[in-house]
Amino acid sequence: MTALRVGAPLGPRTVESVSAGAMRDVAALLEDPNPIHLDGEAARALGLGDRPVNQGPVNFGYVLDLLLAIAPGARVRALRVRLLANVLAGDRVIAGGRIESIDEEADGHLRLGCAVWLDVEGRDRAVDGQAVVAVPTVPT
Amino acid sequence: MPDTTPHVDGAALEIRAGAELPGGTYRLGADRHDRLVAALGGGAPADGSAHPLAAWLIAMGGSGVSLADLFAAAGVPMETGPMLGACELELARPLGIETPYAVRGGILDVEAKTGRRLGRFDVLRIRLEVREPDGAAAAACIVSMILPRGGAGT
Repeated sequence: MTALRVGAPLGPRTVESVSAGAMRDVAALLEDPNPIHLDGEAARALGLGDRPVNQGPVNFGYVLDLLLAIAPGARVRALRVRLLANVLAGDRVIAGGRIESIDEEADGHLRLGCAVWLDVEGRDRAVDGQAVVAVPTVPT
Repeated sequence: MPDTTPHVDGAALEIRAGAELPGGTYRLGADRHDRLVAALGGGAPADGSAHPLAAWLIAMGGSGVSLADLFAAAGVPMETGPMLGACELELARPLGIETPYAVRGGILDVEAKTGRRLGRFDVLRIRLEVREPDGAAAAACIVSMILPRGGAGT
């Protein structure tokens, strides 16, 4: 559970090795036949790397997982992200963030404004953005 | 009425600001939800609601058009590498795994750009609204798609 104060870091949440098998399953879920998610050769042909490219929504899904872990009962109310770089099969990625504001709401929640990101170890920042998370003041 | 509307043929889809998408109904269901959570390698919310990434799946799944047809209508073959550039999710309430949500939306704008790495490309922005069966707002999603157009970069 994260310390709820402005400036507190979130996570990190680490995915040790992004799974090509998960990409195939998500491609089916999203009805997304883009071959770059299924075939390293397709990714190579576009100059994107030599391994399948993870789906963008999954990349910010790792960030959503990070936000759910802030506290029991945490609810993501908003997420705004830019996708800056590709994540490839086998990459080690680290989702992180920082609490930038805390406001009390009338409904008994704290409203946290957070900076969030996803970094590919040894390479680029893949996701950058902001989130709003509601956390109950009395743990659920 | 089925609880998940099949996608229509995107051939008649207009890619211009203000054009509406067909929309429809989408029920996530436990199997798809479990697969989504498994793909992320994390966990589902403890209260039994859907993972917040389900907002994306429901919005796109209920838009009435597949990604492939959307890109084809924009004249961008999958092989040229269309990709997601940005996303804004708003979740008004926890999403239900078995709830048949109504989805509607359309194209906000299409902006031509030029970049060093991609050369010429368009940014296609789509807004989708996800509503409860009683019409209450549940979630909204603004998606920015990068559509390569070929040509030299700057």
